[in-house]
Amino acid sequence: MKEFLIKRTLQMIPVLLGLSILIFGLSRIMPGDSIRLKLGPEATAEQIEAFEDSMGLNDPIVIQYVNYIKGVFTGDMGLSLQTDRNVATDIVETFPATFELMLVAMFLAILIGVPLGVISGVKKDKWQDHLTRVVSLSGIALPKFWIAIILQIIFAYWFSLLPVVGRGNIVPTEITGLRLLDSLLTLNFEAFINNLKHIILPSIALSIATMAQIMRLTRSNMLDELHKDYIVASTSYGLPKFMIVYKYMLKNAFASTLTIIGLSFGALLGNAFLVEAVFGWPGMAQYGVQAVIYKDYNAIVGVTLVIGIVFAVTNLIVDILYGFIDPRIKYDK
Amino acid sequence: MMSKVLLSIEDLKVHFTSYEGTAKIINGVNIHLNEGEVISIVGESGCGKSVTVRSILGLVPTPPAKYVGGEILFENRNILKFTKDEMQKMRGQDISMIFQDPMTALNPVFTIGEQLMDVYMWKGKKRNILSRVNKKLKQEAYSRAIEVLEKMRIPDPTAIMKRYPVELSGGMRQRIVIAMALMHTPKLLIADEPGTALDVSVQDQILIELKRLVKEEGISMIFITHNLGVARIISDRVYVMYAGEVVEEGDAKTIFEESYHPYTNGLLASIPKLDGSMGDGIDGRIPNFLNPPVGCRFYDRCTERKSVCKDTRPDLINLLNKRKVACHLYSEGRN
Repeated sequence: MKEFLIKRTLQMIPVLLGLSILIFGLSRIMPGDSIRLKLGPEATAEQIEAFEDSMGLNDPIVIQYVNYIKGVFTGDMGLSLQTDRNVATDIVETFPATFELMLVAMFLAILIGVPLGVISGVKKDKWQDHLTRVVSLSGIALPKFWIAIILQIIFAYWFSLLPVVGRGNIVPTEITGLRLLDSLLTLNFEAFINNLKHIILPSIALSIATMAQIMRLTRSNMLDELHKDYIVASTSYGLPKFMIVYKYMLKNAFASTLTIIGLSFGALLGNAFLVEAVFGWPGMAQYGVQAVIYKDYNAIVGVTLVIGIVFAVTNLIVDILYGFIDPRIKYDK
Repeated sequence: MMSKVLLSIEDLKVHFTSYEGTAKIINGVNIHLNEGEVISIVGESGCGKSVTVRSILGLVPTPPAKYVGGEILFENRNILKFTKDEMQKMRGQDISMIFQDPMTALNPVFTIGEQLMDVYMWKGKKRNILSRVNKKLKQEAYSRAIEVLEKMRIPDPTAIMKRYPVELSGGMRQRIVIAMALMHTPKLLIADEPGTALDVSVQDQILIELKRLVKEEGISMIFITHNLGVARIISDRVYVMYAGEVVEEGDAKTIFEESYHPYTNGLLASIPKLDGSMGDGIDGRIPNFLNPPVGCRFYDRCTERKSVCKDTRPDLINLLNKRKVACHLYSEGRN
């Protein structure tokens, strides 16, 4: 197990290096003159030249890359053209908001998707099944931003139950940057309620697609389990139905659901931009898209690297969890 | 020795609905079992033996199956009329089943101990998300599990309890599958071809264990097999099934020495011999269940068929020596 962990962690290094080379190269050959955009139409050729020199943009690309990687290890991810600050500072500021949103969305997706999938599988072709299937198909098919807007109209505008935009106005003492967690750690329940209210709508909007996927996969896995010998056997031993379904079947069915959970963490980041835009959520996805639009070299590379790390780590965790769910999986050297 | 009848299947008829139509899979099966007796049901794959015995435990999903006639009486109560709760109470406690394939009959993601103990602790009970078991019951379950594993002659039961099925050999798993069925010492044990997935020597050991245990604990058993040799060793009486009907019934000793029904004869002739010959086999295939023959279901393949066989279904008739056969070649009371 320990060896597996070390090996998998080391494997992440070439993956991330490859990703950084790729995205660094791409950001440099992207068309468009962001320096001119940044300095404005009045800037002279000399001013632009001077600014490019200061950013090292006129060095050979290999030198630029080496300098960049050196910088990353000292916490300097280069200057952001949008904010005129170190990209690392921007990411530290915006990443927790996105990460918190993703975590809550994933939590909702699992909490609702799995039981719905179970019910739908066990009650195949009954009304419960039809209902969940319609809901999940709509969840996959409907655009996230549309769902987000509809949620806003219903819950914020018509019923005034929840705030329309923003991340909450009572900020707890910062420990992790995840406000729900921070407010619980500091026992600041006022902040917890306030931030919870703000995160409900965006996280629902973000979770629906993933929830639908989890639900459909759980359903089909449960259907497969239903006729397995060991399930028929458990029935013949007189075990309670509830136990057979939620213990004996679900643990078997959950392994492939876990794969989807790992993979959809990446998709959540992509979808997060739309949701963040609609809900005015001060997150990293929005920052990243702005970076692409303004060809903010360093921000593009920085954001992509962070996404890559999150994706790699999530899937490492998923791989470890497999071992707890299925004893047939052994972590060999 | 005439003992009490434990189970009797009376004229059971089961149909299966599919897109092509209604398949008349079980067509009036009569089987009875006395207390303490071991019977075998033999027949080729698809003859309905599994459906018949799974019906006893209510394990055949309805739909597609539909019980159109007959009854299954266990201690004079009709199992087919049981509510879900009654059924769950009966399963494992009164009637239990050993599954055919030890590779698939154990849940791969739970330890042997957990599976055995769950059967002890939760059998016939309700469970919801808040249910907990107390320590005493858990200890009881643990010692019962060890006891049953010891009964199955499994070496080092405490270590086995912590193992996952995948870590054990086929023979070991088959013993554990039997142990699962014996957790509550049922009155009736249904064995659906146990050991067929194992090699012959292991199968032999397990059958000997099983027979010994059943006699020791006074359990009655229905043994399903397509191996006539096994049927002869293990059982007191034998039923031969063909295409959803019982075609012959008799004492395990005499039925193989002098079989009456042409199908039984064919089965006996099909056994591969150790001298290298393959056995004769029976030409043709089992009939189409969607549109079965009106007369004898064996008509198409029978070597001794007569004109009466085509249109008239033969009843299971009594012969003089307590044997029964469903064939027009024989008449009531003939020996």
